[in-house]
Amino acid sequence: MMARFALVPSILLCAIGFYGAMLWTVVISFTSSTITPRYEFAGLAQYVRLFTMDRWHVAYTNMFVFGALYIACSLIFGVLLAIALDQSIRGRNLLQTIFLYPIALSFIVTGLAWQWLLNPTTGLQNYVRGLGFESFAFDWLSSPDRAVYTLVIAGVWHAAGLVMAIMYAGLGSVDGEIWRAGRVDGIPRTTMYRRIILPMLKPVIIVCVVLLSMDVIKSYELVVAMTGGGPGYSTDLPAKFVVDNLFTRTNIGLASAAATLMLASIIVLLLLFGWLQKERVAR
Amino acid sequence: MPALNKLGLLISFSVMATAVTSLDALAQQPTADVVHWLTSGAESEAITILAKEFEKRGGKWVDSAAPGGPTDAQALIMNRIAGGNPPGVAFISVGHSAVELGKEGLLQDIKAEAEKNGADVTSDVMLKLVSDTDGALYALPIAIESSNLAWLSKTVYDEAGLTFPKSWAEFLEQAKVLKEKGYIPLAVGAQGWQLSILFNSVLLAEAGNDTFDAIVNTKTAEAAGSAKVVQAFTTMRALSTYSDAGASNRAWNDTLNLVAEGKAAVQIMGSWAGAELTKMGLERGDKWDCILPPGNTRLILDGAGFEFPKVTNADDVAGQALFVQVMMDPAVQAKFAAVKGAVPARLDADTSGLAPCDQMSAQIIRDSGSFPSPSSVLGNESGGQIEDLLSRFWADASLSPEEAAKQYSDIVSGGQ
Amino acid sequence: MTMLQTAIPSAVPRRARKHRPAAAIGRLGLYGFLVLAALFFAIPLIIMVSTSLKTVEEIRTGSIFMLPQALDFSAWAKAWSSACIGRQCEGIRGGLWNSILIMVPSTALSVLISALNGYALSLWRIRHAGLLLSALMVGAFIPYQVMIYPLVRMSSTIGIYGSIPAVVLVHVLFGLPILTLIFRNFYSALPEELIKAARVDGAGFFRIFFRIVLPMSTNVIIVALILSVTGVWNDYLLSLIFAGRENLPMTVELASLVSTRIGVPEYNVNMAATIITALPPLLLYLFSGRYFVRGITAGAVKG
Repeated sequence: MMARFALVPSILLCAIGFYGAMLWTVVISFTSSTITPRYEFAGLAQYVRLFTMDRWHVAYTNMFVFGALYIACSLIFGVLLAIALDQSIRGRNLLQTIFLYPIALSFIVTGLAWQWLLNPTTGLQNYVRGLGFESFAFDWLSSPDRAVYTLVIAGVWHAAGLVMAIMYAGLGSVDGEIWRAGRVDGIPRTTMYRRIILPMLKPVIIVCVVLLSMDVIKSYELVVAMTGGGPGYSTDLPAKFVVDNLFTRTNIGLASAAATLMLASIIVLLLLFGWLQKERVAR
Repeated sequence: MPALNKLGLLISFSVMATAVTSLDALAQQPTADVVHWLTSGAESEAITILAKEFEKRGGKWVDSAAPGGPTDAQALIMNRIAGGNPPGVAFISVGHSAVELGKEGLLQDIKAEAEKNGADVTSDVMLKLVSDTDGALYALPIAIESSNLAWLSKTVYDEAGLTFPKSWAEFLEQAKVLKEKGYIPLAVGAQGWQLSILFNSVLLAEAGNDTFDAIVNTKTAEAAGSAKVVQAFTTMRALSTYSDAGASNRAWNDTLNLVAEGKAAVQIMGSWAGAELTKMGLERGDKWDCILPPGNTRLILDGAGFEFPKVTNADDVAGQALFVQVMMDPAVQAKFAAVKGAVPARLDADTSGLAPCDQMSAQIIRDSGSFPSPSSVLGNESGGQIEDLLSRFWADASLSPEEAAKQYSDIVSGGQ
Repeated sequence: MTMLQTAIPSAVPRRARKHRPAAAIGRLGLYGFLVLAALFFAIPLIIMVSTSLKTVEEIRTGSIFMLPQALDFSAWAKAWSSACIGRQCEGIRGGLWNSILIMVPSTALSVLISALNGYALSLWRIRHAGLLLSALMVGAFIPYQVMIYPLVRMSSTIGIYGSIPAVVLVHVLFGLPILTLIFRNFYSALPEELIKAARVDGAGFFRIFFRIVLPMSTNVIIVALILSVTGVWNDYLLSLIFAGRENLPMTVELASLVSTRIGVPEYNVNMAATIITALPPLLLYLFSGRYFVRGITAGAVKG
């Protein structure tokens, strides 16, 4: 069958590329490998070590804190923008372009630009103080408790436009009849959006969530460019933990254990997501 | 048939790639494919000196700079070794990691080549760092860098009417005054390795030469966890309040700029800072000065050097031999050190061309002695853990000096 | 077949605007929100551009929010053709050609393969199609840093490590999951009768794909191209590791440029180089953003 045949190259590529690499990582995580791979079984030693490391706990927690906030804020902001643009606005094309362009920039550029802007000594805080507001403070970038939120700000800046674009197109595809019916019944517009239009667009929202969660995984570069994981290691992420241990700390075993845990968490989340979807459909 | 087209495209690409490589193989010339991260101003000039000399002696220099710094360079080296295309030469910070790599059989033992080229007159603090217990030598130093130097703004001290302090306690007293006058008392780039440099000079002052010696040369847990180390962490905590809000993740040279512009009083940084200041067009004694940090009497050394991954191609092997000759040439080392802001690794090399600060370093090394830096002794993994610890300690006031000293001691002695 | 019309009506019918004070305040708030949002999005770019037009002295003494005193494009010229990257002082133009050499085959192959996958998975009854897609999607959630080492070993086993084919292959691999998903969503919206009719006429798998399905895919191909180009063009680490030193793209040159510095940092040149490097995907968004918006939702809304 031709259709199956056509899939063979991709299946092979992914089986070897993704699953081969994954398998290798899992295998190495059970060995005592340090600077080069050594196939010497060490049981759970690397995992035990991982759990004693404060830095790993911080990184792992951050993945969820950053991920949840990034997805939620991008989604809310993007949807609000799309709805605002949907109100027969002047200059809509221009505004759309302004909202959308950051997505074309890499996370590295995004991180550098925002690091510059939010740096308390050279950026926004300094400028506002220079204007005469001496007590103005915005030093989240150098606060261990808040730096992770600056990553969210930069991330939302990067992605909200994409959500806006997708949602705007989604809003445009809603049948005019629905609006007319709503008007006849005298339902306020806000209620229409909340109760009827947005629930209708659930598939579109899911596409956004998928795209955004892929970004969370890739946010390594954002962290490196913007905070370098600091202050301290308060903005560390699992991906950065893995790369540091893999390449500079010459600790392949530990890095693999961390990568395996990260993968396992992601797979659990995906399964959960899929199961929730099914549950909803079943009902 | 699109599937075939795809395949054809791929094949023609790989054919092109092999054609290029086989052309290379035809040429017979000692070749050095050099991975390094010497891309910033003075550093890139230093590597150029090596490259030009290497080319002058008939070699072919292939520049594989990894712009992102040591992390990217290390990633590149390891992956190229894994990919079966190792670079012949790799720039490193001289330290125990080269021995770890050598033990895995990935590096050339260059003892024989080194002995022909003046290993006997090369700094033994450096050579010891890269020698295995069985006598193998896995890397060579080209220059010695002092990591505990204070780079101070004369402008700031003059305007504040202060002289540079003799102890960290006095430094903290002065810091209050400086802060009130609107200066940043201590310029810090709060990245792990920079904090590590600062901490080492605090540690050397607070713990004294003997305790420091016990930490770096015998890795004694008791010394590393002693009350003196707790004191060093206490001082570190006090210092953390005298930097500015922009310190987080700031690059070392941007931090140095604060001193150069007279915004900050002092930065503790390695000898390479001097070269950077000179490049900015400022001469020593004019607006800035270099001096041992408060309470330090000896230097803590890091080395710049090269390791030589195992290669099979005859040109690359010949290239390694030629490279060792070039980098061990005392005249080359003198020039390299002068530009990079360091002291030549060969003790017989001419030091008269060095910058004043580096001449000062050379003299301290000769007269008072020196220590290898803890991170070079401990290797990448433990060194990295110390950086994590210091980064956290600097940012998180809930971690007590006692607890930090205990963790420090565990890392130094290699315990979990 | 109304389902085939993937273009989206540009505006929903509105109720007539009445000049009531409440509505006026509402609209004022609306515009206020949009203007603030526009500022939030625009300011980083404005700062980058204005910094690139300042002199070093202006940057050192002034705030980053200040506009340049005069339009000075010398930083752009320097970034393009004479800034020093390591030992060479030829600007970042050298990497442009390599970037293109990497980008063109990477995007072309990714899009073609993913389109084929999406088509096979959605329009042909393949057993376990859902499972295959899920298995593929898992790949989208693995951080690529984790897989670098094994991939290096694999590419060196087949003898392409350190060349353009290696970096192309890696880009294709990492692009496959999301692009396949997008194509599958789009094609699921096509009616099955279309295929059935063609098969009755004796057309085969590839014939239907190239003659019927592909010509209808303009919107979604634009989406896939944009996503793919942005991803490949902005990549830095994969190229550094897989491409080999002769084939380093612009992003690597940019990173070198930013770290190569002699004396006082030239933020203006850095900024100019950053903008130049980011320009191709930016322009792509500016000129085809509209199709992007249409294409990306086409499948999702209906699927």
